[in-house]
Amino acid sequence: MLSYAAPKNFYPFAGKLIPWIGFAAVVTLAFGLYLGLFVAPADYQQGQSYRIMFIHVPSAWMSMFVYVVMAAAGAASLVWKTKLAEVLASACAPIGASFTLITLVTGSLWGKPMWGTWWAWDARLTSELILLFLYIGVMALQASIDDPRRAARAAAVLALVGVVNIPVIHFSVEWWNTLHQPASVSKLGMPSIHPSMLAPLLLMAVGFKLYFVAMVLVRMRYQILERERHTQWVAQVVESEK
Amino acid sequence: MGGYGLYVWSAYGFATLILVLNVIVPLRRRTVVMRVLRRLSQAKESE
Repeated sequence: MLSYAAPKNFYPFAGKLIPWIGFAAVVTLAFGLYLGLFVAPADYQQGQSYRIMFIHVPSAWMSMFVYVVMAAAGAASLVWKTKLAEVLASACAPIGASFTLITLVTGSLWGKPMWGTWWAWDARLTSELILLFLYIGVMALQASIDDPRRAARAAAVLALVGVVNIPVIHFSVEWWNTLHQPASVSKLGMPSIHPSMLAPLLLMAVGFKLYFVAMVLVRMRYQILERERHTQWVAQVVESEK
Repeated sequence: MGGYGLYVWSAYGFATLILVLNVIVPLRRRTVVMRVLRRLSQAKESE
């Protein structure tokens, strides 16, 4: 059986997937932006400012989702010592950090007109900031250790320890009195959001997921080439892509 | 945007900037990696 977990097989397979997933991401995001900016009506309480939600909420979901993927890949790399899992974990970190940064900045730009402040040390905001520091810590560990295997192991341990922060972020609006509004979509039962606003929100969420998959594959591919540079198959790839 | 234009467009602009950078940086990095690997293989051939 052809194993896609072998870097040699994964490399061309991922190369074929990237353009399709990238294209799907662009189409989904364009459609989501159109619905979110031109079709969805203004909010009866927040006016037009609520449109920040269409990037803020999906990127907040992504910031947690990518972290879980990164930690799971880290755990897999610790248990089975697979190179592909190490590369996946390392490729996740900068993308997850980017989504976390987008979440914090767009949240701040939403908070100023709605709450009257750019920032508050409340549970939701603080735990999301800690998430950014966790990502930066993982990236710093990966960058500071020369041996890729040891770097991956150290980063995986930090990523796994940091997983406790994920439920804290999610439940922070229920556990503590926060400035941040509670969930509208992931509530059990009916989401308290109108379909005309839910549709662009979900499209943006799917678009960000596709974008993440495409970009993580791009990053994994060149990292694989770097790490396998002394092998015959990489020499052939370099030869054929001249 | 009902007086919120500056906030809304700044948010969309910032997100776009970060997401576009996240496409450009890895693609450029890939070009660099390929260049280094090509040089490596040429060095090996001339040995």
